[in-house]
Amino acid sequence: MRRRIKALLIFTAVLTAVGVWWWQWQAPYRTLTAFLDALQRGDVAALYALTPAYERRFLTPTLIAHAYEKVIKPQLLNEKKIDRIWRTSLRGFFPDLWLGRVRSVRFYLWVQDQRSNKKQLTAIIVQRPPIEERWRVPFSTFLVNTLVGAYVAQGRSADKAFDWAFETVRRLGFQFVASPEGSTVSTSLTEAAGHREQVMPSVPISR
Amino acid sequence: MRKQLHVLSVTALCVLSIVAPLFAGYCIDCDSYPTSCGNGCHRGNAVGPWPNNGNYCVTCSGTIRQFCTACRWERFQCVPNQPGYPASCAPPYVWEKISEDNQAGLISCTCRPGGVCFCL
Repeated sequence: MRRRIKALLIFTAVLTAVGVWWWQWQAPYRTLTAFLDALQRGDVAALYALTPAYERRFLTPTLIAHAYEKVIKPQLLNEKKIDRIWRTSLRGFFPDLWLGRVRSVRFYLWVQDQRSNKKQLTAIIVQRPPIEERWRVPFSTFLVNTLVGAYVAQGRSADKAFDWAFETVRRLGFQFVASPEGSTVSTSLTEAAGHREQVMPSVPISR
Repeated sequence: MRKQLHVLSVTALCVLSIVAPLFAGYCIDCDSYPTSCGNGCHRGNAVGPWPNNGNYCVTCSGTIRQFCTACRWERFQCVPNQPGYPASCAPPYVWEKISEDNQAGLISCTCRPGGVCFCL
């Protein structure tokens, strides 16, 4: 009898642990689903509600609506379907198994054009900013990734893709972009270059 | 005599104009100026990080564009060990790597000022 109780307790403990792990590991998926649903519906309010608080310092619903019409809709939604979703981490191509200290999860999305069957890549970063402790999706990062994917899908060099994407995002009215790790970056390339020159030593001296 | 002096001064100036730029490079290495920078400019006689909010640089390493290494550097101001001697080396500071973060993407990576990398 005692043995049975012991076995039952161990079984319950293991089951609870696996359940907790599964629930927290699935959390980014739930946010991703909410984001994709909002994207499909064109629900700007829901997309804005999913953005992290630090991004809202420069992001407005109007800006999201503008980018949605100009970039997201033609690139990812009009006669397109999601072909594949792949969960990875920022540091590699394998997902983190334990999300205790992990703040960002990256989902690659392949979107297929239903006419030409051509595929285009983008990535959705699902973040958990420390001050919010809820999973969020930075819209501006997603926008940059979509533009980079579109640039490369046109057969152009990947080396210039990010510079082009930042310039396009700046023209759309974004002064900043949320980074995959939860900070903000200026979209101005000239400012960025000046800043880099100012702070970057030509030969770092490290002893 | 006057002509000799003239030739001598022209020669000296010529030598100086060639040698001076060669020595100018040494100023970057604070070890060459022990009196100005203490026993060389290193983390041990430096204060900081300076400025306090930190300075950053970012580097992309390797030739494979799908991978990036974002390095965070902090600049420490060097202190002269003899009173009255100004830290006149250029630069009178050292860079120390605080952290390194390797990131990967399927297509490309770019690192922006502030140590932020974007990878797709």
